[in-house]
Amino acid sequence: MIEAINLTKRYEDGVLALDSLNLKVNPGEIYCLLGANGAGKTTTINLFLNFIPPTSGTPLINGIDVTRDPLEAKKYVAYLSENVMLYGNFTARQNLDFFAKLGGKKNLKKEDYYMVMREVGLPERAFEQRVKEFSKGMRQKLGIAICMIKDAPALLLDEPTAGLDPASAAEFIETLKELRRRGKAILMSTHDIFRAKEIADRVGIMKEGRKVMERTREELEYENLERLYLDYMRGGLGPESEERRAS
Amino acid sequence: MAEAHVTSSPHIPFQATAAPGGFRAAWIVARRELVEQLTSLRFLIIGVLVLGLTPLAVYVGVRDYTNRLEDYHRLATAQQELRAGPAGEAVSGVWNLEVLRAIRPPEPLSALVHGLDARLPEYWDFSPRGIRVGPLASRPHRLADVLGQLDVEFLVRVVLGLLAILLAFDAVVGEKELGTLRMTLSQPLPRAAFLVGKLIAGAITLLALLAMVFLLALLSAQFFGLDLLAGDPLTKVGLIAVAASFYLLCFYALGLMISSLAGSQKTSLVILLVTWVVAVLALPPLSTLVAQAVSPVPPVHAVEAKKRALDEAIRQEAARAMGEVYREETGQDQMVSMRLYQEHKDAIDRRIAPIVTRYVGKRRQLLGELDRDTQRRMARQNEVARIIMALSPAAAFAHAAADLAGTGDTYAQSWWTAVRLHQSRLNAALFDDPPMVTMWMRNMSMTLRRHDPPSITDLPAFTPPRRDARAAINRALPALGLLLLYTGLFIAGGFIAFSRYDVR
Repeated sequence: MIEAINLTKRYEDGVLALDSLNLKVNPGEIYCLLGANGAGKTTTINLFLNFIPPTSGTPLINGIDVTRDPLEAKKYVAYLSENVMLYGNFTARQNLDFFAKLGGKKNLKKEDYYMVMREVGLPERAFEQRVKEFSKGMRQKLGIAICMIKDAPALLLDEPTAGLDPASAAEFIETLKELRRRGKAILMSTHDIFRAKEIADRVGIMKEGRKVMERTREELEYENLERLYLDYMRGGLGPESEERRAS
Repeated sequence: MAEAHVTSSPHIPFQATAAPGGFRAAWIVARRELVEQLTSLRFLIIGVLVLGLTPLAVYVGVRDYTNRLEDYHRLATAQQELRAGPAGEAVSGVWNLEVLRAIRPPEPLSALVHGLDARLPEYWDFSPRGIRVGPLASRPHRLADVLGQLDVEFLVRVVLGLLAILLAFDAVVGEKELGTLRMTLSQPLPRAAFLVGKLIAGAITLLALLAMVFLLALLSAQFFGLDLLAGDPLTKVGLIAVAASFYLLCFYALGLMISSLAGSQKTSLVILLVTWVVAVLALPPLSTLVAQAVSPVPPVHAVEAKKRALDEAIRQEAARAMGEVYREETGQDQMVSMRLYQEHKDAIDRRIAPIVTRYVGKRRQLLGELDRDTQRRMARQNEVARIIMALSPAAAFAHAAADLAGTGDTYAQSWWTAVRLHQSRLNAALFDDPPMVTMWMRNMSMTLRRHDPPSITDLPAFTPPRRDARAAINRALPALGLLLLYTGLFIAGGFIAFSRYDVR
């Protein structure tokens, strides 16, 4: 559903932000990208959304090359950023309505919007409240409601739990689990190793634009993800070869 | 669904909802933007300001117009009386030339677009020496002097022009800073549709306010006693409103373009405000100053004095030559007598005819050169001013509005053309063959009546320039074309800039 094939991005100033990334997120799977700031996580998401063109390689959404047919590809993907920023002068329902219509949804009723907002845990009083009065947690919930109402099979989440209080983050993780259960393919960038370990079906560690390690949930049961992450970040371990990974 | 280009992921049976088409997507963006704009503080403040100032501006304009209309009626009545009296029966000499006067009526639409209407002459007189310019139509201590150039055109150009910029400066870069641009463009929304949506919203907001301003202006004019609600004036007001729409769209498109190029809202606002100040406030007066420096035109009274002195010199020369003819034909050099003239009339008339022709020819040549030089300088000055003002959409709009209202530079030029044409027709019909001439001999002079002067009804009538809507459109076409060009350029620039916009 979400796939990167040798995806590379070098900016005009020569900085190599992403170096031959290969990854694949299948339906009903959550893939967590871990890495420090500047590791290339957000660049990867930007490439999948066609916000920037790749230097080489192919980003695919539902088998569609994003660079060649971005509008078609975007029908199959929903996006949630670290800081969900919406139109402050509009109510939660109006924001939901705006993005739902842009996503192609028609004839939705007020009750349909209310139902999705209930599902993500927004309090009833917030439905017709202006978004500028929302806390960050409420905005994140509304952001995930926007993703849910689009009902896209692929989700791109850019550090969605950053800055959330523990309760909100826990609620958010539960929502993601539900989305996985519904068969969504979810690519999530995060700094939060513990959340990643809790929810991810696969984890990739990125460093300086390269994916240096990838583990499945089963593999991680026998390894300490935190120690692996820190070892890679401190430079103690080099990129894992395909052979080593296979063995 | 479009063809999948590369497929290596398994394709799950998901039925994507059809994304909205280009125009529908643009309309979704436009509706949201429209609500945002119409409820914004900047729109409310400027809207209240402009709607509050409109009746005041119209009141000033109507007062000024009615004052000038009174002056016009006074002059026209005096001329009618003159034509009905002895002066109307025969035109000769200099004492009754007022009967030939071309009186310019004030333009009713100057109540909305002052333009040059009050700064053009009230009338032009025609004389053997050429055109004599009457006083300016403006009155001292007018209310307009106190309030400056406050008219509907000013409100649109300055105040609504500012609103167009304030609505557009953050339309793109503001959404980027807020973070909503990423959210919006993560949807299957073509970038062009996003910008078209912004354009539609801005156009509706600005045009709605513009329509209110013009409606209020027309109703205010009616209330203050000036009927503009029918016929040509209403058509012209409609055309001015169309020009104003292009102008506002032009500034809004400029705002979108800068907003798609600037790195931050602050930068966008600063660039646009500086552009607004230069284009709207600085360039028009600056263009006049530069044009005056490049091609100075001597003041009217100086040219008139020079013409009088020249004419006097050649007239005296001719009068002395005719006195010599009188002396030779009558043998009398101590006194001039009408009886002696009548006795030798045929011989004297035959011999002074070439002198009169030479005098008229020389006068036309010398005074004509002076006139042509002044006209050349004035034309060059106008050309320089127009070239500099072509750099500003605000100046293009001011020109278009004034030309459509009949208060513009082009309309003023058409008056001058009509006046010059009339002077040349009067030269042929009257001044080139003067019925009376003066001869000088020693210290004596005598005015001879060579033949009967033509009746006023035999002289060509003055034809004022056309004032209908079609003529107004023709006059305004260059400025309107320039305005359209600017609007098109800024819209195209906005689309190009946004197609390459880095939304990160």
